[in-house]
Amino acid sequence: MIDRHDPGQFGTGNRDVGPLRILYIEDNSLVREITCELLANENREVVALGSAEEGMVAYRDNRYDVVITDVNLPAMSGMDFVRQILKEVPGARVIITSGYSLRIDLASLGPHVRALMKPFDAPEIEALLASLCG
Amino acid sequence: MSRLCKINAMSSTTNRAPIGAVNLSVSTPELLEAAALCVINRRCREAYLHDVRGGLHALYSALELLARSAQIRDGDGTMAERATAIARRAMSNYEPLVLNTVESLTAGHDAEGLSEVDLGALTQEVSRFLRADIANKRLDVRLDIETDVRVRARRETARSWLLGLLLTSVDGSPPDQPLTVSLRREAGLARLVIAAAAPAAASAAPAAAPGDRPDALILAMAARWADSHGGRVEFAPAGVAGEEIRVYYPLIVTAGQEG
Repeated sequence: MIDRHDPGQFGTGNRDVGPLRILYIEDNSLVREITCELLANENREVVALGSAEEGMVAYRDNRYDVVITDVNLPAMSGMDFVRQILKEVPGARVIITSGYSLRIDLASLGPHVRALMKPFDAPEIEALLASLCG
Repeated sequence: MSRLCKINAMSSTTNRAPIGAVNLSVSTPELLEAAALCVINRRCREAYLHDVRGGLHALYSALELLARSAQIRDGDGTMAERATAIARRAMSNYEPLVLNTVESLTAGHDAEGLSEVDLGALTQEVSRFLRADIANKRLDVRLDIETDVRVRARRETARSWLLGLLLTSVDGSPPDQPLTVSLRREAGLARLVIAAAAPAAASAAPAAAPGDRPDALILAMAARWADSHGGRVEFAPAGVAGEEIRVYYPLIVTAGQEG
Protein backbone atom coordinates (compact mmCIF):
# COMPACT_ATOMS: atom_id res chain seq x y z
CA MET A 1 0.00 0.00 0.00
CA ILE A 2 1.07 3.54 -0.62
CA ASP A 3 2.18 5.49 2.43
CA ARG A 4 -0.08 8.53 2.21
CA HIS A 5 2.04 10.43 4.71
CA ASP A 6 5.22 10.05 2.68
CA PRO A 7 5.56 13.00 0.29
CA GLY A 8 7.96 10.94 -1.78
CA GLN A 9 5.23 8.50 -2.67
CA PHE A 10 2.09 10.52 -2.25
CA GLY A 11 1.06 12.60 -5.20
CA THR A 12 3.46 11.17 -7.70
CA GLY A 13 3.31 8.18 -9.98
CA ASN A 14 0.34 5.84 -10.15
CA ARG A 15 -2.03 5.38 -7.30
CA ASP A 16 -2.29 2.04 -5.62
CA VAL A 17 -5.45 -0.03 -5.86
CA GLY A 18 -8.58 1.04 -4.04
CA PRO A 19 -11.05 3.82 -4.54
CA LEU A 20 -9.81 7.30 -5.36
CA ARG A 21 -10.33 9.36 -2.24
CA ILE A 22 -11.35 12.94 -2.92
CA LEU A 23 -11.64 15.75 -0.42
CA TYR A 24 -13.92 18.47 -1.75
CA ILE A 25 -14.23 21.89 -0.09
CA GLU A 26 -17.02 24.25 -1.13
CA ASP A 27 -19.02 26.59 1.09
CA ASN A 28 -22.04 26.90 -1.20
CA SER A 29 -24.20 24.01 -0.01
CA LEU A 30 -26.04 23.49 -3.29
CA VAL A 31 -22.86 23.53 -5.37
CA ARG A 32 -21.23 21.22 -2.84
CA GLU A 33 -24.12 18.77 -2.96
CA ILE A 34 -24.38 18.66 -6.74
CA THR A 35 -20.65 18.47 -7.44
CA CYS A 36 -20.29 15.77 -4.84
CA GLU A 37 -22.98 13.75 -6.62
CA LEU A 38 -21.25 14.24 -9.94
CA LEU A 39 -17.84 13.23 -8.65
CA ALA A 40 -18.93 10.14 -6.76
CA ASN A 41 -18.98 6.73 -8.38
CA GLU A 42 -18.17 3.15 -7.45
CA ASN A 43 -14.43 3.83 -7.81
CA ARG A 44 -14.36 6.96 -5.68
CA GLU A 45 -14.98 8.13 -2.17
CA VAL A 46 -15.84 11.79 -1.93
CA VAL A 47 -15.84 13.70 1.33
CA ALA A 48 -17.40 17.14 0.93
CA LEU A 49 -16.93 19.85 3.56
CA GLY A 50 -17.90 23.51 3.82
CA SER A 51 -14.76 25.19 5.15
CA ALA A 52 -10.99 25.10 4.82
CA GLU A 53 -10.62 24.59 8.56
CA GLU A 54 -12.72 21.41 8.43
CA GLY A 55 -10.82 20.39 5.32
CA MET A 56 -7.47 20.78 7.07
CA VAL A 57 -8.55 18.55 9.93
CA ALA A 58 -9.92 15.94 7.54
CA TYR A 59 -6.81 16.03 5.38
CA ARG A 60 -4.47 15.58 8.30
CA ASP A 61 -6.53 12.63 9.48
CA ASN A 62 -6.81 10.90 6.14
CA ARG A 63 -4.45 12.30 3.49
CA TYR A 64 -6.79 12.14 0.53
CA ASP A 65 -5.59 11.28 -2.98
CA VAL A 66 -6.96 14.51 -4.43
CA VAL A 67 -8.13 17.77 -2.91
CA ILE A 68 -10.61 19.93 -4.79
CA THR A 69 -11.26 23.31 -3.23
CA ASP A 70 -13.03 26.55 -3.90
CA VAL A 71 -10.93 29.70 -3.41
CA ASN A 72 -13.48 32.00 -1.83
CA LEU A 73 -14.24 30.40 1.54
CA PRO A 74 -15.25 31.89 4.87
CA ALA A 75 -12.39 32.51 7.35
CA MET A 76 -9.39 30.58 5.97
CA SER A 77 -9.21 31.06 2.21
CA GLY A 78 -8.95 28.24 -0.27
CA MET A 79 -5.50 29.44 -1.33
CA ASP A 80 -4.19 29.41 2.25
CA PHE A 81 -5.67 25.93 2.60
CA VAL A 82 -3.88 24.75 -0.52
CA ARG A 83 -0.57 26.32 0.55
CA GLN A 84 -0.81 24.61 3.93
CA ILE A 85 -1.51 21.25 2.34
CA LEU A 86 1.39 21.64 -0.07
CA LYS A 87 3.63 22.66 2.79
CA GLU A 88 2.78 19.45 4.62
CA VAL A 89 2.65 17.25 1.52
CA PRO A 90 4.58 18.89 -1.33
CA GLY A 91 3.41 16.37 -3.91
CA ALA A 92 -0.27 16.65 -3.07
CA ARG A 93 -2.71 16.61 -5.97
CA VAL A 94 -4.92 19.67 -5.88
CA ILE A 95 -7.59 21.20 -8.07
CA ILE A 96 -8.47 24.82 -7.32
CA THR A 97 -11.86 26.07 -8.46
CA SER A 98 -13.21 29.60 -8.41
CA GLY A 99 -15.94 31.85 -9.67
CA TYR A 100 -13.45 34.73 -9.70
CA SER A 101 -10.95 35.17 -12.46
CA LEU A 102 -8.01 33.03 -11.41
CA ARG A 103 -4.73 34.88 -11.29
CA ILE A 104 -2.64 32.09 -9.86
CA ASP A 105 0.85 31.00 -10.83
CA LEU A 106 0.10 27.29 -10.62
CA ALA A 107 3.66 26.27 -11.38
CA SER A 108 4.85 28.06 -8.26
CA LEU A 109 2.46 26.02 -6.13
CA GLY A 110 3.52 22.57 -7.23
CA PRO A 111 3.65 20.08 -10.08
CA HIS A 112 0.29 18.51 -9.32
CA VAL A 113 -1.85 21.61 -8.92
CA ARG A 114 -4.52 22.48 -11.45
CA ALA A 115 -7.18 25.18 -11.63
CA LEU A 116 -10.68 25.27 -13.00
CA MET A 117 -12.92 28.27 -13.33
CA LYS A 118 -16.62 28.00 -12.62
CA PRO A 119 -18.84 27.16 -14.28
CA PHE A 120 -17.21 23.90 -15.25
CA ASP A 121 -18.92 20.77 -16.45
CA ALA A 122 -18.38 17.12 -15.62
CA PRO A 123 -16.07 16.34 -18.59
CA GLU A 124 -13.76 19.22 -17.60
CA ILE A 125 -13.25 18.07 -14.03
CA GLU A 126 -13.03 14.45 -15.13
CA ALA A 127 -10.26 15.40 -17.55
CA LEU A 128 -8.34 17.13 -14.78
CA LEU A 129 -8.78 14.20 -12.42
CA ALA A 130 -7.55 11.88 -15.16
CA SER A 131 -4.50 14.06 -15.80
CA LEU A 132 -3.65 14.13 -12.11
CA CYS A 133 -4.43 10.57 -11.15
CA GLY A 134 -3.98 8.62 -14.33
CA MET B 1 -15.48 64.88 12.94
CA SER B 2 -12.55 67.19 12.27
CA ARG B 3 -11.08 65.03 9.55
CA LEU B 4 -14.44 64.65 7.90
CA CYS B 5 -15.04 68.40 7.85
CA LYS B 6 -11.64 68.87 6.29
CA ILE B 7 -12.47 66.36 3.61
CA ASN B 8 -15.78 68.00 2.78
CA ALA B 9 -14.22 71.40 2.54
CA MET B 10 -11.45 70.35 0.20
CA SER B 11 -10.95 70.95 -3.46
CA SER B 12 -13.77 73.03 -4.80
CA THR B 13 -11.70 73.78 -7.89
CA THR B 14 -13.52 73.82 -11.17
CA ASN B 15 -11.48 73.51 -14.33
CA ARG B 16 -12.97 74.90 -17.50
CA ALA B 17 -11.60 73.59 -20.74
CA PRO B 18 -12.79 75.08 -24.01
CA ILE B 19 -13.23 72.50 -26.73
CA GLY B 20 -14.33 74.08 -29.97
CA ALA B 21 -17.44 76.11 -29.27
CA VAL B 22 -18.30 74.15 -26.13
CA ASN B 23 -17.13 74.91 -22.61
CA LEU B 24 -16.87 71.79 -20.49
CA SER B 25 -17.11 72.27 -16.75
CA VAL B 26 -15.21 69.61 -14.86
CA SER B 27 -15.48 69.58 -11.10
CA THR B 28 -12.55 67.84 -9.45
CA PRO B 29 -14.53 66.47 -6.48
CA GLU B 30 -17.16 65.10 -8.85
CA LEU B 31 -14.51 63.38 -10.92
CA LEU B 32 -12.91 61.90 -7.82
CA GLU B 33 -16.26 60.68 -6.56
CA ALA B 34 -17.11 59.15 -9.90
CA ALA B 35 -13.77 57.36 -9.91
CA ALA B 36 -14.31 56.14 -6.35
CA LEU B 37 -17.75 54.85 -7.26
CA CYS B 38 -16.25 53.05 -10.25
CA VAL B 39 -13.85 51.24 -7.93
CA ILE B 40 -16.63 50.24 -5.55
CA ASN B 41 -19.02 49.23 -8.29
CA ARG B 42 -16.33 47.13 -9.92
CA ARG B 43 -15.94 45.26 -6.65
CA CYS B 44 -19.70 44.70 -6.55
CA ARG B 45 -19.77 43.44 -10.09
CA GLU B 46 -16.84 41.07 -9.49
CA ALA B 47 -18.63 39.64 -6.46
CA TYR B 48 -21.90 39.23 -8.33
CA LEU B 49 -20.12 37.72 -11.30
CA HIS B 50 -18.62 35.21 -8.90
CA ASP B 51 -22.12 34.39 -7.66
CA VAL B 52 -23.47 34.13 -11.18
CA ARG B 53 -20.69 31.73 -12.15
CA GLY B 54 -21.41 29.63 -9.07
CA GLY B 55 -25.10 29.61 -9.98
CA LEU B 56 -24.32 28.60 -13.55
CA HIS B 57 -22.10 25.86 -12.22
CA ALA B 58 -24.99 24.54 -10.14
CA LEU B 59 -27.28 24.65 -13.18
CA TYR B 60 -24.78 22.83 -15.43
CA SER B 61 -24.23 20.20 -12.80
CA ALA B 62 -27.94 19.74 -12.19
CA LEU B 63 -28.48 19.21 -15.91
CA GLU B 64 -25.67 16.67 -15.93
CA LEU B 65 -27.34 14.80 -13.09
CA LEU B 66 -30.65 14.83 -14.97
CA ALA B 67 -28.93 13.51 -18.08
CA ARG B 68 -27.30 10.73 -16.06
CA SER B 69 -30.59 9.77 -14.46
CA ALA B 70 -32.13 9.49 -17.93
CA GLN B 71 -29.30 7.24 -19.12
CA ILE B 72 -29.20 4.73 -16.31
CA ARG B 73 -31.81 2.24 -15.26
CA ASP B 74 -33.53 4.17 -12.52
CA GLY B 75 -36.20 1.68 -11.45
CA ASP B 76 -38.34 3.75 -9.14
CA GLY B 77 -37.26 7.09 -10.58
CA THR B 78 -35.57 8.13 -7.34
CA MET B 79 -32.48 9.51 -9.02
CA ALA B 80 -34.50 11.43 -11.61
CA GLU B 81 -36.68 12.84 -8.86
CA ARG B 82 -33.66 13.92 -6.85
CA ALA B 83 -31.94 15.40 -9.89
CA THR B 84 -35.08 17.33 -10.75
CA ALA B 85 -35.36 18.69 -7.22
CA ILE B 86 -31.72 19.82 -7.33
CA ALA B 87 -32.24 21.45 -10.73
CA ARG B 88 -35.24 23.35 -9.39
CA ARG B 89 -33.23 24.60 -6.42
CA ALA B 90 -30.44 25.66 -8.73
CA MET B 91 -32.89 27.59 -10.90
CA SER B 92 -34.65 29.29 -8.00
CA ASN B 93 -31.28 30.30 -6.53
CA TYR B 94 -30.17 31.71 -9.84
CA GLU B 95 -32.86 34.35 -10.32
CA PRO B 96 -31.86 36.64 -7.43
CA LEU B 97 -28.21 36.36 -8.43
CA VAL B 98 -28.97 37.65 -11.89
CA LEU B 99 -31.25 40.40 -10.57
CA ASN B 100 -28.56 41.58 -8.14
CA THR B 101 -26.00 41.64 -10.91
CA VAL B 102 -28.21 43.62 -13.25
CA GLU B 103 -29.07 46.01 -10.45
CA SER B 104 -25.40 46.58 -9.65
CA LEU B 105 -24.80 47.73 -13.22
CA THR B 106 -27.06 50.71 -12.64
CA ALA B 107 -25.39 51.87 -9.42
CA GLY B 108 -25.21 55.63 -9.04
CA HIS B 109 -25.82 58.20 -6.40
CA ASP B 110 -28.93 60.12 -7.37
CA ALA B 111 -31.96 60.23 -5.13
CA GLU B 112 -34.38 58.56 -7.53
CA GLY B 113 -35.73 55.09 -7.09
CA LEU B 114 -35.92 55.02 -3.30
CA SER B 115 -37.24 51.76 -2.00
CA GLU B 116 -37.38 49.78 1.21
CA VAL B 117 -33.96 48.27 1.89
CA ASP B 118 -33.12 45.69 4.54
CA LEU B 119 -29.86 47.16 5.79
CA GLY B 120 -29.06 43.97 7.73
CA ALA B 121 -29.29 41.72 4.68
CA LEU B 122 -27.30 44.25 2.66
CA THR B 123 -24.56 44.38 5.32
CA GLN B 124 -24.31 40.59 5.33
CA GLU B 125 -24.14 40.52 1.57
CA VAL B 126 -21.50 43.21 1.26
CA SER B 127 -19.38 41.61 3.98
CA ARG B 128 -19.27 38.48 1.87
CA PHE B 129 -17.73 40.48 -0.99
CA LEU B 130 -14.69 41.15 1.16
CA ARG B 131 -13.92 37.59 2.17
CA ALA B 132 -10.67 37.46 0.24
CA ASP B 133 -9.43 40.76 1.73
CA ILE B 134 -10.41 39.60 5.21
CA ALA B 135 -8.72 36.23 4.75
CA ASN B 136 -5.55 37.85 3.40
CA LYS B 137 -5.22 39.93 6.57
CA ARG B 138 -6.45 37.15 8.84
CA LEU B 139 -8.91 39.60 10.38
CA ASP B 140 -11.32 38.34 12.96
CA VAL B 141 -14.51 39.85 11.61
CA ARG B 142 -17.52 39.70 13.88
CA LEU B 143 -20.93 40.55 12.47
CA ASP B 144 -23.58 41.45 14.99
CA ILE B 145 -26.51 42.27 12.76
CA GLU B 146 -30.05 42.79 13.97
CA THR B 147 -32.68 41.51 11.59
CA ASP B 148 -35.37 43.59 9.94
CA VAL B 149 -33.54 46.92 10.00
CA ARG B 150 -35.41 48.60 7.16
CA VAL B 151 -34.62 51.97 5.67
CA ARG B 152 -35.81 53.91 2.66
CA ALA B 153 -32.91 54.26 0.27
CA ARG B 154 -31.66 53.61 -3.20
CA ARG B 155 -30.38 50.09 -2.80
CA GLU B 156 -27.43 50.41 -5.17
CA THR B 157 -26.29 53.61 -3.45
CA ALA B 158 -26.62 52.10 0.01
CA ARG B 159 -24.64 49.10 -1.15
CA SER B 160 -21.92 51.34 -2.59
CA TRP B 161 -21.29 53.35 0.56
CA LEU B 162 -21.60 50.29 2.77
CA LEU B 163 -19.04 48.43 0.70
CA GLY B 164 -16.87 51.53 0.64
CA LEU B 165 -16.93 51.88 4.43
CA LEU B 166 -16.19 48.21 5.01
CA LEU B 167 -13.47 48.15 2.40
CA THR B 168 -11.87 51.18 3.98
CA SER B 169 -12.04 49.63 7.45
CA VAL B 170 -10.65 46.29 6.30
CA ASP B 171 -7.85 48.04 4.47
CA GLY B 172 -7.04 50.24 7.44
CA SER B 173 -6.91 47.35 9.89
CA PRO B 174 -3.57 45.80 10.82
CA PRO B 175 -3.31 42.02 10.23
CA ASP B 176 -4.68 39.58 12.82
CA GLN B 177 -6.93 42.16 14.45
CA PRO B 178 -10.64 42.09 15.22
CA LEU B 179 -13.09 44.08 13.13
CA THR B 180 -16.61 44.36 14.46
CA VAL B 181 -19.63 45.33 12.43
CA SER B 182 -22.86 45.84 14.31
CA LEU B 183 -26.26 47.03 13.20
CA ARG B 184 -29.01 47.99 15.59
CA ARG B 185 -32.32 49.81 15.66
CA GLU B 186 -32.01 52.75 18.00
CA ALA B 187 -34.52 55.53 18.62
CA GLY B 188 -35.96 55.52 15.12
CA LEU B 189 -32.57 55.20 13.50
CA ALA B 190 -30.54 52.37 12.04
CA ARG B 191 -27.19 52.50 13.85
CA LEU B 192 -24.34 50.84 12.00
CA VAL B 193 -21.00 50.70 13.80
CA ILE B 194 -17.77 49.50 12.23
CA ALA B 195 -15.07 49.21 14.88
CA ALA B 196 -11.54 48.69 13.63
CA ALA B 197 -8.19 48.43 15.40
CA ALA B 198 -6.84 51.37 13.41
CA PRO B 199 -8.24 54.63 12.05
CA ALA B 200 -10.16 53.80 8.89
CA ALA B 201 -8.65 56.54 6.79
CA ALA B 202 -5.33 56.95 8.52
CA SER B 203 -3.33 56.57 5.35
CA ALA B 204 -5.56 58.66 3.16
CA ALA B 205 -4.53 62.16 2.20
CA PRO B 206 -7.59 64.36 1.75
CA ALA B 207 -6.84 65.19 -1.86
CA ALA B 208 -5.58 61.73 -2.85
CA ALA B 209 -6.89 60.42 -6.12
CA PRO B 210 -8.95 57.28 -5.62
CA GLY B 211 -7.08 54.15 -6.48
CA ASP B 212 -8.14 50.75 -5.29
CA ARG B 213 -8.60 52.16 -1.77
CA PRO B 214 -10.27 55.55 -1.96
CA ASP B 215 -10.36 55.89 1.83
CA ALA B 216 -11.05 59.48 2.81
CA LEU B 217 -13.16 60.17 -0.22
CA ILE B 218 -15.42 57.21 0.55
CA LEU B 219 -15.90 58.41 4.11
CA ALA B 220 -16.85 61.87 2.87
CA MET B 221 -19.27 60.44 0.31
CA ALA B 222 -20.93 58.19 2.87
CA ALA B 223 -21.25 61.10 5.27
CA ARG B 224 -22.83 63.34 2.67
CA TRP B 225 -25.17 60.59 1.52
CA ALA B 226 -26.35 59.89 5.06
CA ASP B 227 -26.73 63.62 5.71
CA SER B 228 -28.89 64.12 2.63
CA HIS B 229 -31.32 61.48 3.89
CA GLY B 230 -31.61 62.77 7.44
CA GLY B 231 -28.82 60.61 8.85
CA ARG B 232 -25.25 61.25 9.86
CA VAL B 233 -21.80 59.68 10.11
CA GLU B 234 -19.60 60.00 13.18
CA PHE B 235 -16.12 58.89 14.14
CA ALA B 236 -15.04 57.91 17.63
CA PRO B 237 -11.92 56.39 19.16
CA ALA B 238 -12.08 52.65 19.84
CA GLY B 239 -9.56 50.82 21.98
CA VAL B 240 -5.98 52.02 22.07
CA ALA B 241 -5.46 53.03 18.46
CA GLY B 242 -8.70 52.07 16.83
CA GLU B 243 -11.62 53.96 15.44
CA GLU B 244 -15.32 53.47 15.12
CA ILE B 245 -17.33 54.63 12.17
CA ARG B 246 -20.92 55.14 13.21
CA VAL B 247 -23.61 55.60 10.61
CA TYR B 248 -27.10 56.69 11.63
CA TYR B 249 -29.91 56.49 9.10
CA PRO B 250 -33.67 56.95 9.55
CA LEU B 251 -35.58 53.73 9.93
CA ILE B 252 -38.86 52.85 8.35
CA VAL B 253 -40.74 52.35 11.57
CA THR B 254 -43.41 49.68 11.52
CA ALA B 255 -45.87 48.71 14.22
CA GLY B 256 -44.11 47.16 17.21
CA GLN B 257 -40.68 48.50 16.25
CA GLU B 258 -40.90 52.01 17.66
CA GLY B 259 -37.76 52.95 19.53
